[in-house]
Amino acid sequence: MSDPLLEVSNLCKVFNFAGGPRSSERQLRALDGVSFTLKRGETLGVVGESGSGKSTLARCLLRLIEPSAGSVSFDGLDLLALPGSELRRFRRRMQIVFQDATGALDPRMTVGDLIEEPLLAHGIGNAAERRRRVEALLARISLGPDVARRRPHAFSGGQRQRIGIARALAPNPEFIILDEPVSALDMSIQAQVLNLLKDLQQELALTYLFIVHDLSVAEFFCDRILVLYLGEVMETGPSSALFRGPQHPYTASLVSAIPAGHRRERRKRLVLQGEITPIGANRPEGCVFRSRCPVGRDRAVCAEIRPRLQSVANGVEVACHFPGSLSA
Amino acid sequence: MSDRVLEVSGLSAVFATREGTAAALRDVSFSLEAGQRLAVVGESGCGKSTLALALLGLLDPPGQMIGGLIRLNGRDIANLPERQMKAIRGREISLIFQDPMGSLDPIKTIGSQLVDALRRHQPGLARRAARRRAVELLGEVEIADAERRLGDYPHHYSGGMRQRVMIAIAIANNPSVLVADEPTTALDVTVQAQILKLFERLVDRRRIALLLITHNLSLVADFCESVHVMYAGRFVECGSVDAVFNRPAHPYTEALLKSIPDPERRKGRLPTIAGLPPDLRRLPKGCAFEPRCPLGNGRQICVSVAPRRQRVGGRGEDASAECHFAAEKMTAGVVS
Repeated sequence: MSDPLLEVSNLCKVFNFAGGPRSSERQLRALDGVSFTLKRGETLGVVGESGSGKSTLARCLLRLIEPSAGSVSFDGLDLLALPGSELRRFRRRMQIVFQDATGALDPRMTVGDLIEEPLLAHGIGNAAERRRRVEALLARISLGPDVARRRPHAFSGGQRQRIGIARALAPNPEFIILDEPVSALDMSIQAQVLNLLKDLQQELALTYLFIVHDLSVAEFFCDRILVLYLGEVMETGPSSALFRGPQHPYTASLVSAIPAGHRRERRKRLVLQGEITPIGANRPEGCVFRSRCPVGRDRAVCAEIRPRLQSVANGVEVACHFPGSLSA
Repeated sequence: MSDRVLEVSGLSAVFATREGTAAALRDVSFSLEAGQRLAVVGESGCGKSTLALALLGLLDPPGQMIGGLIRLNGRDIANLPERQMKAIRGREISLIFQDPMGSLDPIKTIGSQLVDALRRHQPGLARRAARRRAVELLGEVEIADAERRLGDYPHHYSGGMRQRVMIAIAIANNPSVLVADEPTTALDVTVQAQILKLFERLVDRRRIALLLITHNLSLVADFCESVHVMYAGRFVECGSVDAVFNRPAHPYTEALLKSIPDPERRKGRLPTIAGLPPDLRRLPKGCAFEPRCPLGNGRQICVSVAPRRQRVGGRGEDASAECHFAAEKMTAGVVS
């Protein structure tokens, strides 16, 4: 068994706002007690609706925002205890690729400079070595060395996302957070980028945390899945088990909302009522999903007792008093 | 009486650019019947949004319609002056965009925007009556507590609710055709499912003809009866969703379907389409898909002759594919 690269335990993040008419509205619980481990070379897919805490999780792991509580251990290193200077050095090992490649690339910089920038920031190599590295990275993403002098606007969406990936790869990281990297792309281009990410993972033994809202992409690409709802883990486990037999009613609803696509199997639709509504400082008793849950809406135990993650079959863990109620 | 509410034939549109004229729509024809759900699918830049704008008479310079008929409820609206189009837009044909926040006025209440929409086409409608209609409309798009929520501003609503309001505005004057351009693309899958259910009910209840424009093939498979696949400004394949998805006649359709991630083949690579769509200012003489086509690539006829619309054997009258080798592909049962 391979060793864990990332161990996250009880991660919490509360945002404080200056405004808000009531004191309870001055806080927003974005993450609450999130724990998971990620093995080297694995891909963990983080799924959930907008507002479920996916991007907050990514930013807490990179310490782009500071978590309120919990611990993150990366290759045995206590990330949350690192002082600023060491954190900056450490970030070489952990990179991120954003959804909006256009927004992530400075339009005034050339592609060569954009890819070289992380090398400069980490003081890697001399000028000649850096130039060779940039050329090698451009070749790896199937762009010729002559594009180094051009600026991002000259490229298509798919090419820009490749440039974003090359930039993340530049300092030779072990771990990359992919924050919706293919959501903005057309299908045929999405397939190209997913293939590239898969190839890179194999060649460079990369570990991925893949934030994704398209569940067919999640199922295809990820080894394991973490389902978030209002900042809490609802269910986690191997991709195949989780999609074939979702245990949590929330996962079951998400899975049933995947359009069947070209497989054309008609499945019964579970259309979830209502929408995700953020909760303030005071977490309601019981289960956070209860208000939308077709199983627990009127059950006393769901209203009173917060369900804890418990193991069920096939390596799946689920936070629900009535697991499996909605699986086929 | 025929149920045909929209008939488009030979629709062509261009965009003037600094480097020449781009052919955005090239001889597009199709028809829609009351209660029908038709999907137009294609990738960015294939012309699907231009089609939506052209149908509504909203194609402004540098875009321009250069030919074709748009027969809506029996009348050709292709070249109507803007004054007359204004009377038709929202009353006979409505459009819903991807981004409801961009279409709603942020400084007006939801209620007053609904009332405005109603009174635009029914000037005789009293304010109070219009307000009552607005409450009914919000109820019809399943917004709870409609009476109270009429006084809210768009920013009080979630993305899904704003899209519901857009739908309410679009159907306020009971149009016969609803064009929805990527209506659920910005929404979560759960909310997307709710909105599609809502469309389904509206189409059935009001017998609206729905033209759904999307890049999402999977969504089409579940939701529509027929599909038109668009490439470089033309419909390259048309037919029932079942037929087209189970056995695509055009190599482009097949390639698109294959690029959808399939969990059954997790370990493998996804098939991709080589290259990029053609430059619409410099379209090839032959088939626009030829340079990327696994079937036609390099074949003389594909390079030199643009394929015509041809029937696909064994399918209905409306089924067609624009490929020299569609018939061969179908009879051979080749999966290239």
